[in-house]
Amino acid sequence: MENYNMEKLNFERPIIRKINTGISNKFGMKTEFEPIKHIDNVGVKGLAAEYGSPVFVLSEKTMRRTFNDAKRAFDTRYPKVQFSWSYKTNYLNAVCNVFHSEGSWAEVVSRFEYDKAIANGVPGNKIIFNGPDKTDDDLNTAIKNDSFIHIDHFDELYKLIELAPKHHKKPKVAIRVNMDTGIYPMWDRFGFNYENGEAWEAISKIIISNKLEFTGLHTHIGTFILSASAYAIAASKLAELAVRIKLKFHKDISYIDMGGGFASSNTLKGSYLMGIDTSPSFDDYAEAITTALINSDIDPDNMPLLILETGRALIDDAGSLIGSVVANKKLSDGRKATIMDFGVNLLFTSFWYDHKITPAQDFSHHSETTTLYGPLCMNIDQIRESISLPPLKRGDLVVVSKVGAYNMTQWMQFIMMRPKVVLIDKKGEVHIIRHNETREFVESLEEVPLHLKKAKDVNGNKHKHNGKPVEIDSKN
Amino acid sequence: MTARIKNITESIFNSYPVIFFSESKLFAAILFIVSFFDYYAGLGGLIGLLTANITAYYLGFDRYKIRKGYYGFNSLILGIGIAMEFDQSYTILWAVVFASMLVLFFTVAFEASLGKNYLPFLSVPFLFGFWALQLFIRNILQVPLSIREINYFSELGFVNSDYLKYIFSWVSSVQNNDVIRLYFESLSAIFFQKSVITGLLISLGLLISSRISFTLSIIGYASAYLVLNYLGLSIAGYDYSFVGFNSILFAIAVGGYFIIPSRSSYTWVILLTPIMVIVSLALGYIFKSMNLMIYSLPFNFVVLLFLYVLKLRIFKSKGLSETVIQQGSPERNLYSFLNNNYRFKNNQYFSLKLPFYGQWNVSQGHNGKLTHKDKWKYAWDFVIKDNEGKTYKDYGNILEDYYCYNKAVLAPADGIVHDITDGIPDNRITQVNLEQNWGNIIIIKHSDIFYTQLSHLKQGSFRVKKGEFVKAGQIIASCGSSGRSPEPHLHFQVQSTSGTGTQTLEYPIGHYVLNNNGYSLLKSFERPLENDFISNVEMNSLLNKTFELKPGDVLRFETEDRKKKKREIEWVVVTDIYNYSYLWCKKSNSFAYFRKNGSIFYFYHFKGSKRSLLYYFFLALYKVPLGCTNNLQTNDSIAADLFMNKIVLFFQDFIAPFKIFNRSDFNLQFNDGFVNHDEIKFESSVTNSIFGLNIKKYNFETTINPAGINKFCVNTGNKTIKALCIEQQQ
Repeated sequence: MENYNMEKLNFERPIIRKINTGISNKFGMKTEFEPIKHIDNVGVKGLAAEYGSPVFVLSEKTMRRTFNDAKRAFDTRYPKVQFSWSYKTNYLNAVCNVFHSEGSWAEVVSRFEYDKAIANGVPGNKIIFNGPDKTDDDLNTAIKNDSFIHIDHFDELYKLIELAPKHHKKPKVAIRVNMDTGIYPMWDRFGFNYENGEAWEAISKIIISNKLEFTGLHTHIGTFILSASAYAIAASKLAELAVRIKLKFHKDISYIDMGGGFASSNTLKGSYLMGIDTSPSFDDYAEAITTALINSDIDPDNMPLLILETGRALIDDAGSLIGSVVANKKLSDGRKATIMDFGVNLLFTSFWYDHKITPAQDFSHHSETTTLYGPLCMNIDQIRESISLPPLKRGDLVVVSKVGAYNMTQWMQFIMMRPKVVLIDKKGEVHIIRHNETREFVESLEEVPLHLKKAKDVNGNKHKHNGKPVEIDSKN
Repeated sequence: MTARIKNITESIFNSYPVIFFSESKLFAAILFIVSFFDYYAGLGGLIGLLTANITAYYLGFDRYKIRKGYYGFNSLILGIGIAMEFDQSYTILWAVVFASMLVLFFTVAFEASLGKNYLPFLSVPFLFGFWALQLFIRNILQVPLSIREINYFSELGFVNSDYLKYIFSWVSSVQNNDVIRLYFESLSAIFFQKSVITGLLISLGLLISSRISFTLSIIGYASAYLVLNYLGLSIAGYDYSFVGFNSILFAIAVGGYFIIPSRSSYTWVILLTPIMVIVSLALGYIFKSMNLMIYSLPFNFVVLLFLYVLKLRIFKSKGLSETVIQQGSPERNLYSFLNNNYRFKNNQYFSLKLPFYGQWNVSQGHNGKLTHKDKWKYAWDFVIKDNEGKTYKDYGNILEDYYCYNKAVLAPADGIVHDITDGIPDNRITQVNLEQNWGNIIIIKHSDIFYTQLSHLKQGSFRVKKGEFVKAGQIIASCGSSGRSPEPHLHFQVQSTSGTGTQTLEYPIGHYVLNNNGYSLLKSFERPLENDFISNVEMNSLLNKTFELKPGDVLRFETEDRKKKKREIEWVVVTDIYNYSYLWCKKSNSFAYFRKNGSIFYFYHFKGSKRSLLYYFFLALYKVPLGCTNNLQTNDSIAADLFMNKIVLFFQDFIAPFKIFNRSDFNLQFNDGFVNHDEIKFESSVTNSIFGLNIKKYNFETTINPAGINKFCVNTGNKTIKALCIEQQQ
């Protein structure tokens, strides 16, 4: 006879809630959603048990699928497309290598990221070097490696013209162009402005200098852009520049880099509708950009390569954060509050998004409004001011979905240490791709001046300094 | 001056082996010596040949043909024949001079008249000249017939060597064997001699110049011998003595030279021998009454007749293919025929592009299960599939969910928009419109008998108008789901008439990339099969520019071998009057013929020195796609005689018409997409294998930069050559 091992039913504390009868109203229908018990068929409970709570979980399958969706959207609309992985979005080496293995180049904005890309085996001529702060040494390295340098300001341009003759080749450069694409806020702090003519001035200076190889045009109109048509405007303006360059300097530019900024399906704070319904799809962005380029006056036989530096939209969906409930509380005004073991230290994006947070165990359809706090002893540590969740108790697990972008680069080691990051590969096997931090790790960079050593050392014990016993002057 | 002397020498020596359909220099030397076994006959031949060549030169005939010996060889045989037949006298030699001019005129006349039917003039001019002169000398000059017998050994007087004694005794033993003796004598009869030694040397020359010709000479002779034997006649008999050499020449001409050597051509040689014998005997009787001999008339008669008959065929059988481009040797003809057949079998005039961007999937190919049947069997249906094999995202219940819906449809080739049907709404998913089953269509006219049709297009998506000129790759409409289309897809077919949905034409796609199972393979003029993932070769501007070789361009290389010895080599791009383009290395007199067809650059022929740098270059860049995708493989096959080990080739030649046991494979791989790079580096290799066993491999590495071909390295296993391009003038 089989032994039926019945699991004990989950206890939910009772709640009192006003009944909303009749047809659905502005408060919506009652909550009907499913718990997330598995990520890529790997049990959430097991993950938390093995790797601790909280833990970041990345799905390789989702990453690759999302990448291929994006690639297909562009490839089937435009003849030459190249993706370039935006390192700042998530520069865990495992993540970068997933995208590199799918054919992505690297898009970096600092020497740190640049060196990371090189260490990941990306050839120099497949690295796009963006960003406003590049030192002379950074520029020399990039020139030596044949990387594409995207110039941000005139000072950088002059510096490059100054550095170029020392190398026996022309540095490959593009300029970043900012422009009015009809969206607010307009990003004008990076690159050269299109409307006021600075972009054209920069282009002319580069080409006339004859010291730099002008390879392309770059723009990055903003981030989490919810309007695909803004990209169409940006693409048209870059195409106009390309045509003008051809007319004036008889030069075909080799690429147009549309930057990134594609929205993921997360819901922005304060938006009325769900992100999944409002965010444009890759197809929408691709249609807008490629149509604008194809319909432009660029010579059809010499269409430039289209480069995309999409980061967020490619990785957000692949990341989840598993956390657990620390405590339930009642606030002074009677509102419910729940304290989680993860806070703004790990979930940086909670400043922008109303994340989708789902319990990992069965629950009834009753829910109540609660405020979610993190574990930090700091007032700012509030993940969500108000969220409708089923009643949770200490130890219950939740899954925060779509957290792959920016959290694993902008997280902070503040009060608590950062947890593990694991990757579920295509076969469903789990790999740790970043270990949790330890006190030793955090302190490993610290130095304590001799006179500030531990008290017991000071009180007479011999202390080793550089391997030699040191006499400690205990008179003070 | 040296060039002129070289031309004159060539024109003399080339005339000798032409008689045996060969261009071999060694064979030429042997025949030259053999002709002088009777010095008077040798002189007669030389006088005849020089007269013809000089006359042809001053009358202004094609220098190339003179150099090749085409205008001289008939007069050469005439000279030898006359000098052999009559007693030595200056009058005879004078007669030879004038008769040779006559033979040249015959040559030119027959070349023109027979040439209209693409037939060779063979030794017909000789026959007419010879008969005329024979009658003239015999009846007017009345020079007596010669009674000379040639005894080489006593004359040459070097019989004392033991080695030669051994040969001599072997020759004597051969002389006792009728069958073999008569074979050699038949060969020597071509030079009007009757000598085993001459025959032996000629047969050795044949063997050196062509294994196929040698084999055929034996087959031809043996068949004739057997036929005569069956008839109770002897090939040694006076009346039948012409049968032997006629059969040999006939066998070489039909079995290997004018027809690509093959099982069938060999069989036809045997089958036609009885006809050959009948014709010989019949003509022999007729000519006897005129007191003339038939010489090579039967051979000329049967060869021309048979070749003419072949030209008039309606269905060209696979086995019996005429030599279209004569390369001067049965082996070369065969190997390049097989190679061209393999490489360019399906090449067509129009190089069609796939009518879309990116990678699509063939959901229904030719002879499909669903609708590509009967008159409409040569059509393709294309869709876009994701990694899971789905054609749609989300639920797939609306048109917009389908990846291919609303995607750009491109013109597959340059042409004029012949017709457009628009206004048929796109169906809801799973619904079909059987009334207007083609849906919205566009028909593009590429030539009077060549149209392409794209169907099920999205309503109102046309970007072009009727009568407008479209360029290959131009966006013409969007993919939709109108007509008999339960879900969005693109139907593509080629037809020879302009109507909507008329009978389809089987036609390949020019060049495309097959992306099955994680690797990409370049396909040329092939038909994508059902379930293939395919995409266009997107041009790489750097590669495209580099291989834009125009007449007059110069490529200058500096090579460095292992001993650091430097050498400079220069090639010129030439386009000849037939519009063939080639790279020419003056120093080694080597030619590498190339073509640039849309998105492909390839070499299709090489002649010259196999030790030249140009030869390595030809191998290294045998076929280069002008667009690259990561891991794109290009495979091709190289003609056997262009890469094989000489000794192996010698044995391969014998059985080549029946079985090719070795192959030379070319492989080129792009390890990168090289999008937007100013340096492209790739490796290629040529491997020769026998029964799957690799016996010879060359590796190449080529680097290309904006200045053109920058560098290429050759590794042949035992030597390494680095060639640096120091100039590419364009």
